[in-house]
Amino acid sequence: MRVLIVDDESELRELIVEYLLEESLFDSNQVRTAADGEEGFAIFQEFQPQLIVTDILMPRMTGPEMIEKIREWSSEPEIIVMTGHDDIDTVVSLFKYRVFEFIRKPFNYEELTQVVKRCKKNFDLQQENELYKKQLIEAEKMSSIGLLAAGVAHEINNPNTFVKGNFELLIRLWPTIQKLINDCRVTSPNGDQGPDSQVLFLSENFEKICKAGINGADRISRIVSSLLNLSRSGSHTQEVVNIANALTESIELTRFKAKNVRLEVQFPEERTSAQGNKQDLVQVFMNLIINAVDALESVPNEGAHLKIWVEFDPMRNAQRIWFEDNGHGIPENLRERVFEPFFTTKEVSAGTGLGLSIAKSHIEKWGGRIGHQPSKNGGTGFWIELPDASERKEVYVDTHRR
Amino acid sequence: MSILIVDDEKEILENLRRHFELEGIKVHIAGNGDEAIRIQREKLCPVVLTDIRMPGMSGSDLVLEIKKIHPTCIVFAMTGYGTLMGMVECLGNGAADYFFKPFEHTSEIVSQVKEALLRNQRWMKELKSLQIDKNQQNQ
Repeated sequence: MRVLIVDDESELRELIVEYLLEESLFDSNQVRTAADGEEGFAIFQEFQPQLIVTDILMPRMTGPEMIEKIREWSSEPEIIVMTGHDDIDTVVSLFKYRVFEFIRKPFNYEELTQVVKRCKKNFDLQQENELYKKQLIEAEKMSSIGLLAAGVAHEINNPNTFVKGNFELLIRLWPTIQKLINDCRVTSPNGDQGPDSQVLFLSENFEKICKAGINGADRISRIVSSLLNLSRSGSHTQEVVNIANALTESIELTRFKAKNVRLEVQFPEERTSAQGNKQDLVQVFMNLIINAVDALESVPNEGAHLKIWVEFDPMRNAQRIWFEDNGHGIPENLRERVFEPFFTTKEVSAGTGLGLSIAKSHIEKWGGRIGHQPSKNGGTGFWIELPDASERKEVYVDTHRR
Repeated sequence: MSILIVDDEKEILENLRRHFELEGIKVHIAGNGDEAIRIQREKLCPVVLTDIRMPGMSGSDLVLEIKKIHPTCIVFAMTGYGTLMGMVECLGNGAADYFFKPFEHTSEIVSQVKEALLRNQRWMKELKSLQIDKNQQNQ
């Protein structure tokens, strides 16, 4: 929480700052001071404090004038006003600006810190509330997408079946068509003039055209199945998963795609396990590996590098799995959005924009977290944190054993 | 050698028919369960390929009915749901295997069906020789 203290008495300002820091309610870089309303308003605009503690009477611009100006800009910051004896009228006039509390001067250390503590608690609760609201909206969004997917999957899969099937049929018939073309050419009276340009075009492109059709159908069915995955997340039971096994499997499954990337994997100990679901976790790992490989596409050959390692965090009692690449990184303005469903920076053909949102929903269901940060080499480091479920080596005596 | 394909989507029926006919396998088609049963009573196809969700009789009920008519018939189920919804029941009723739509490679289904046809032929041969043995014993 950022705090701004506005008072024309420099000693009082310093004292208040000292009080607040002493209670370790704030870090020193979260507190700023101003000597009057004008300076206070200027700092408000630049620093955007979440709490303002202000005096009333000050030169140049008074406290109430400053509060009026601030409220024109924002209703967000909490305001605590320090009042004197004769300020009743002013206090009443300030009610309409939503003031958190009035403290009467002279006040003591205890009084001030109590009010600030109360204000801070209030602020934290509001923040938490906002977070829950966001999560709720996100969950709502995910589940409606899932429901929608389950409803339309059948309707999409059916026509997609014969789109693909008919292209496959054409490919199967191609040798026959080719033979016919050749036969015609031989028997044609002007066969010596060389093949007609459209026939030439057909010979060169027929198979490619059919394959493009099949690729399109495959892409549609991939999107449908990831949407279905989204709607199904939650049906797979939680279990203890051996991280090394899941990692090996996902690397195996992505080997073809990652063939140009130098993969450095520090496998965890055989016993390292976490809460999750094997099948889903392999999928999550695969998504992260594929994302990294895509981010490494622009890196010249031999330079592309993906490092995977697992570390135990005793503070959180969690296993953290890192996937760090030296690719193009995620632009700063997009970092917040990568977990949104359908958000993708890849070409339309390459991704559905669902991989990370599915990963997030799985991991949070298992009581874990997922996040990312820029890596030192300019790429991105994604991490997954899962509740530890490893068997410890320590042998303990089972007192219940009969 | 002929097979029966059941689906309420006409284009899928047509497409599968072409795939099988290219391999020299004769195909009967039905758009729903009742029609399928009528055809099966008459043709006794050794292999049937059926959709799960169709108007009227469901695919899994159809499997049951077909098995009553012709217990050695090998039935494959197909589903566009992308999930195993309804599939467990279908397998319980006697379906041999299932395919998700759209098919990974239609050629795989063709070869599975061909293999099933051969299996069925072998069964028939064994059955016949058993019957001959039995008749000889009785004589």
